[in-house]
Amino acid sequence: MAPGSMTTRRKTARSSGGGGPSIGLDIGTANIVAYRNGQSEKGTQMEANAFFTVPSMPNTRKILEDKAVRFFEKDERLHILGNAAEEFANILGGTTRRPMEDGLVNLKEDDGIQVIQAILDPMVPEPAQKGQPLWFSVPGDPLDRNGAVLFNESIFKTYLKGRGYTPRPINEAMAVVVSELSDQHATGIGISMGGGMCNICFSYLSIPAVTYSIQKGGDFIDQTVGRSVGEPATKIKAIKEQELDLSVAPRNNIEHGLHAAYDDLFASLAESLARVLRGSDNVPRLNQALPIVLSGGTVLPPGSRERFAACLGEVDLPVRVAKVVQARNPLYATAKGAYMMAVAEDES
Amino acid sequence: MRADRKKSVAIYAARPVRGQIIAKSLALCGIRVTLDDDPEAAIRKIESGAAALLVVDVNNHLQEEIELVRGMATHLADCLLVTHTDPRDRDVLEEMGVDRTRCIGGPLDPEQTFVAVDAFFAADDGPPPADQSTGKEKGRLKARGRRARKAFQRALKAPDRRVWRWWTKLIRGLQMLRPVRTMAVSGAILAAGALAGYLFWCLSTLPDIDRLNHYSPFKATKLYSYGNQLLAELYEQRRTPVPLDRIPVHVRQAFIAIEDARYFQHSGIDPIRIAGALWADIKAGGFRQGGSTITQQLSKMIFLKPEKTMTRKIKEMAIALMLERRYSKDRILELYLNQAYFGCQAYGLQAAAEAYFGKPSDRLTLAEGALLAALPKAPNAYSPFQNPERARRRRDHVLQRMQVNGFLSSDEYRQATGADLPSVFHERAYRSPYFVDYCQKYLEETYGDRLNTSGLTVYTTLDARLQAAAEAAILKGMAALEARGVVGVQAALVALALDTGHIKAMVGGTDYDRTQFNRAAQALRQPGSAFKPFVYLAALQKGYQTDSHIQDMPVTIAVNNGRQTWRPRNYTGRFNGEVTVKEALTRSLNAATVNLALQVGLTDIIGTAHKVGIRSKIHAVYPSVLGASEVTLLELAAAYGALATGRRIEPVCLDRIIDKASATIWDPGTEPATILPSSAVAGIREMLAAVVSDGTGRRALALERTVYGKTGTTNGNADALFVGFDDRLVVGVWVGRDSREPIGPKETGARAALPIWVEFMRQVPVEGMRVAALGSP
Ligand SMILES: Nc1ncnc2c1ncn2[C@@H]1O[C@H](COP(=O)(O)OP(=O)(O)OP(=O)(O)O)[C@@H](O)[C@H]1O
Ligand SMILES: [Mg+2]
Repeated sequence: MAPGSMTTRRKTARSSGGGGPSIGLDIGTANIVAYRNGQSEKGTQMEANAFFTVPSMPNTRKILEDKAVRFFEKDERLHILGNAAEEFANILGGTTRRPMEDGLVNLKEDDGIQVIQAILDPMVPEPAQKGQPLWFSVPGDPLDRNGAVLFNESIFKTYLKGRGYTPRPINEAMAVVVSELSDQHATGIGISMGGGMCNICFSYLSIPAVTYSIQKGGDFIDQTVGRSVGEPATKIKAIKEQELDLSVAPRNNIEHGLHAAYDDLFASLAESLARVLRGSDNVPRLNQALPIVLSGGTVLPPGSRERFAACLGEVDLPVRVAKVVQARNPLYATAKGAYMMAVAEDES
Repeated sequence: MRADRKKSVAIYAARPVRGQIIAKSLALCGIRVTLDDDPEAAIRKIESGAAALLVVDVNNHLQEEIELVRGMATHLADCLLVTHTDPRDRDVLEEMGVDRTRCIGGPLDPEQTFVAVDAFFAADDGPPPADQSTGKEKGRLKARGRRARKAFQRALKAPDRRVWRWWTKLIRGLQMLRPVRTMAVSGAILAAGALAGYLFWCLSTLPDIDRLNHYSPFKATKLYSYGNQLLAELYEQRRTPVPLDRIPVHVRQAFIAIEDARYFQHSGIDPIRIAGALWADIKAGGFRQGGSTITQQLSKMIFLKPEKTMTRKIKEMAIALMLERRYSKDRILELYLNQAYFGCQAYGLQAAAEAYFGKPSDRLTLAEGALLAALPKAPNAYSPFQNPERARRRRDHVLQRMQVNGFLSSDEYRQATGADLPSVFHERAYRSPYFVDYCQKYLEETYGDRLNTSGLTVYTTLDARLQAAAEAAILKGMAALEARGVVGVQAALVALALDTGHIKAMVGGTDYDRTQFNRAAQALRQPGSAFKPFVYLAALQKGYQTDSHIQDMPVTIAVNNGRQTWRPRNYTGRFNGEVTVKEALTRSLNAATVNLALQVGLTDIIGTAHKVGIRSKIHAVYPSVLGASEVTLLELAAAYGALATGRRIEPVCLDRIIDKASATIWDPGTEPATILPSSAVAGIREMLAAVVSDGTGRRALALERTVYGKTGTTNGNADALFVGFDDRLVVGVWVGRDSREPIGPKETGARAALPIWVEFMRQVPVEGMRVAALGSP
């Protein structure tokens, strides 16, 4: 990866020369996003990175086909994919399974790779021109688990190559910086808090100087709160996504739990940020204060920005923070950054 | 060849990221850089003359890198700059022959690196003077360093390319500006260059207009009763924002017609208008500041300090252009209408509509809208209250402009010009003013200046029904006193919830408009016998029982350091010999109380009174046990609350505070602490119930339910009190004169204050309360 040589431009979608329209891809634990056309975000697709299996019977098959639901059959089971998986799990009263866990492909799920590829296929059509570059996000190395992401990266590289693209990885949090701070020399700290992990990137003049991840995210919140109040994690997740407001006092046990879990996540994130930046030789001495951008589904509840900013106040960072802002669209920021890389490359 | 070489730097870094950081930083400042991960390649660039300076970033801990630098230093010492992570290595490097000023240690420092590179090229720019150490030379280098530092910081600041576009746009607009023209006419071509710099400087210091996204103007803080009834608004600027769709079209048109007729055509600044203003200036031979569009006025109101300078004018235009690029015309108009000042402390259209016409903005008529549109230019000069004639002329002028611009037919115009001007200022009336003052004082201590501007929603503890009952009871009591020929007295009442300390009702006087002095919370008055229960509480805690015997006998006490003696007498003038503790309190026997106090000790009595909640100083003299030390009614009531429950009651006036972002920012949830043993509480309750059933409080029997309390009357009937409680509320009532003169003959606590208390308690809903047989505790 050589984002160091990237130039950020304010231009958006453009299909130039022989290549087809650019796509930016974010393959996350919870969601897969394919970003197209930066102006309106129309054409951008988001699918749950999940599947749900039902026994294969002629009847079921027919229903799925009629409803144009995406699925594949294996070992006499129908694997329903993406957003439809969640709908069916809801209707039929089960839980979806996930091909990825903590930000990485889950090797315990036998069909994981096949499922992701099946979800990706329609989102990533064959390129107009063979070898067209395609930028996709990869997580940073988890603290204490160096090299864990390499396997992950190579799976997607192989897949994308197979579809006729030249795969180009970009760090997930760096993509957030590119997407949100492009008019500030791509200088600042990008944080993507997703389902499986939090990715952090300190970028200086569009150089990803420090990147890392911690393997805690929305799923971790759902699970710990679920355990502590004795409710299924899926229920906690639904409440979290629909009702949680971190700027008002919690009203019940579940909200108390969610507040505590968020505080815990934010505090450990802030603490790790201070520790990692302090320990890095790649953090230059800077006179100006830097923006921090938060993105990913986990930052969506109101008040999360303020809470995280408060946690930052508790730690001693080697750089000054000008402001903590939220990405314009936290669910799309990573994919949009990848897309912008593609556009920039296309133009240069 | 040399020119090419001149500003070129070759970089080698052992770690690519650090190399990239240096390379990008230098490139940002206009230095030509190449970055190599092979030291040989970098060295070759110097040797071939492709680069003039070699920047090497090393990790000092690696022997092999140090050796590498040693090698470079021997060949290229005078075109070598070393960045490294350990400052201590400076000496080692210096020994190798690297110039000390070209060793940069510590964390990677792009700014310092650029300054050093710049200094290197500075030396390269001209031959060094003969004596390098002259002060002049040093000064020159320092200045250059400062400049380099600034240049770096400027380059790194967000390079909003858009500024350039605004700039070009602006210059076009500016050509019509008179001062520019004057300068041009004066023929100073030099000035043009200076002007460009000046313009750029103006633009580089523009505020961040994204602030408007989160923009919230100063908002009033609103106080509500516990039951959501609006009590008051606290503001510096009276203001309630309204969305544009709640502003009638004819009102918007009035503003556009008078302030900026081409509003929907221009893009923030209006060249035609500027030209027009200029022409007027030239004709008048003077310089005015006219020609601001609505957008410019908004820029001025929100972003800029009020000063009449060229700089501000330019910034105002630049911001106006930026605003127009970012926001719709409707949004800008909405912000403007909500921001403008209309006089009478009214900011924004809604507040103005309320202040001038007593109605919300969506009900403004044409003539009313036109008057409001007339105001922002000069709110005082055109005030319908101060200068009705000028106001009318200006309003009609607005209407005329509306007609000219096709917003009105001539009929509508005629009709509107016939409408009357408003003549009264509509003030917002407060409910429960004494209580509002009390809360405000508390809030100001907590939130300071922010209080009037930060748009808090404050839920107070006040119970509107009880407050109404309190006000009615006081009125009734005053009427009864008047009927007995007693006039000019004041009264106060305060009611606290026993479980929370919430102030449920508070009346600080009989007429807030006349005096705002709060006699419930601020007035220090003697409590008289209402103090006695604290003496008896101290006694119970020392082992006395309600049926213990004490002496109601004459007693003489030396006061004033023995210079005088004090012989407390009973109200009836008789002494009763041996009485029980309970009898003594029930009948409010002074001599018995002082005798008891002599046994219990002043220190314990005073300590007990403070413990239950008396904050005012209690003088350590015996007359204090009969209530000679002054207290407020509020603290007295709170202390009785402790007698009732055994827990310390802190009066609380606020229930919850919500800020603009709907977050609860204040929510007191402290449980009152238990401070008295239940046996003592039972004893006191028994005695205070007996005061009502058999003693001075008998008038409260009219309530036909168990209540507890104590009368208080001070010397010469200057103060009359009753403080008492039931199972939910503790209520204090005081009657007296601000002058401290007697209320009137026979006007004791039982006669002047207790009826008000009873009247109030009669209105307190009793559902859910224990209605027990009278007299049984
Ligand atoms: N409105 C919301 N409030 C709180 N959490 C939300 C909301 N919407 C989504 N989430 C959470 O965000 C997470 C998904 O975010 P996102 O799509 O950014 O993750 P991802 O990129 O798939 O995961 P990762 O980057 O960790 O691999 C889930 O845990 C989900 O529960
Ligand atoms: Mg993600």
